[in-house]
Amino acid sequence: MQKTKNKSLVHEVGIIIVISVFLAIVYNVFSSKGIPLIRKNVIKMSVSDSLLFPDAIKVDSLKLINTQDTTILKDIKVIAPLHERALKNPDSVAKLYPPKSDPVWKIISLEQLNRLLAEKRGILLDARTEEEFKKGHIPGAQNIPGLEPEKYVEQIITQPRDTLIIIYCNNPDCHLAQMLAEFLSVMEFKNLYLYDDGWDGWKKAQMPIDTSFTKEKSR
Amino acid sequence: MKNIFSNKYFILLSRLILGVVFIIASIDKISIPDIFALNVQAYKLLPVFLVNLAALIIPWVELICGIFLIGGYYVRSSSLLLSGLCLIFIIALTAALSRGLKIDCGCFGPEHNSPVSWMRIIEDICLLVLSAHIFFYTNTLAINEGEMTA
Repeated sequence: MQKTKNKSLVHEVGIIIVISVFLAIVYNVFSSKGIPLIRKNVIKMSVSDSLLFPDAIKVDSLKLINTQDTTILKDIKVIAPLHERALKNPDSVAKLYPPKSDPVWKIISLEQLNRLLAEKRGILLDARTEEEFKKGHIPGAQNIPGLEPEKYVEQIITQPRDTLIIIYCNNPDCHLAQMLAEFLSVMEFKNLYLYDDGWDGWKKAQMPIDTSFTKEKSR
Repeated sequence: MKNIFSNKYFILLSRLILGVVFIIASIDKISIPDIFALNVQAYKLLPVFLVNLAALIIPWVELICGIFLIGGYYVRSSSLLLSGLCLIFIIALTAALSRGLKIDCGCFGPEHNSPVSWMRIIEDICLLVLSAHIFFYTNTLAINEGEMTA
């Protein structure tokens, strides 16, 4: 009797699992938010200073988001997409690039972030929620929450697609920055970097914190 | 004592609570699978290629079992499956906490942000107790005859 019971239990469990798997796959196929069944590995790659600060390259045109501080940057052009250039440069980390299909996120360090901020290059985006952003953020950051970037899209849509964009959220395990990066890469922004240590890393390093918040500020 | 636990209304209450909780928990995960997949990945317990499959299937198991528990079909096997899921969640949460991962729990889907904490583990233990209660005190024969579906 007990054996039959156990047998029918296993049988029922099997049925439930089969139904669930079937519905999951069918729903995923027809859902507009479907995801691939097999996930690709996300590769995070740190960027060398020579790539990020190509001081050696001299070109006439100057592309800066904020041109107030042009003294240092007169000779520098922010070339995008960065990784196209990296691919041409045999000495760069380009060799580490996996096939195109795997998403690669370029990670910058706190030092690199500080240097970029000091040189006023690029846009800094905070991918955390508006609530967290209000509590404190990196000075100069704009808030575009990774969960609903489409609501904030007008902040960024007018920017040239080769604009250098740095994105951060809480820490390397936080997925919001990656979600925002994915969203922006779909919008064809090509010059994307993640400050992977994020808000936690920024606070840990006891860097200045901005707690001001206005809708206007986030442009 | 056994009488209280095997009281059919008490079991029915357990079934309703567990069913509703898991149905609610599954809806957001099903509707926004990419974020739940990131939640799953953040636990760093599964190899990356399995993350999406787990993120797609787990919510459906939750939903189907929840519906079956409320509807009164396959009650014992549903509660067994949910016990298994609770156990997995408890292990995953404990692993995340002990490794100091500062991640979102993903327990009730991406719309309900809540960081991994001991509270989440206690919640899952309560759910495990409920499903174990249903599993051990549901009379299989009665279920088969449709008596417990009241």
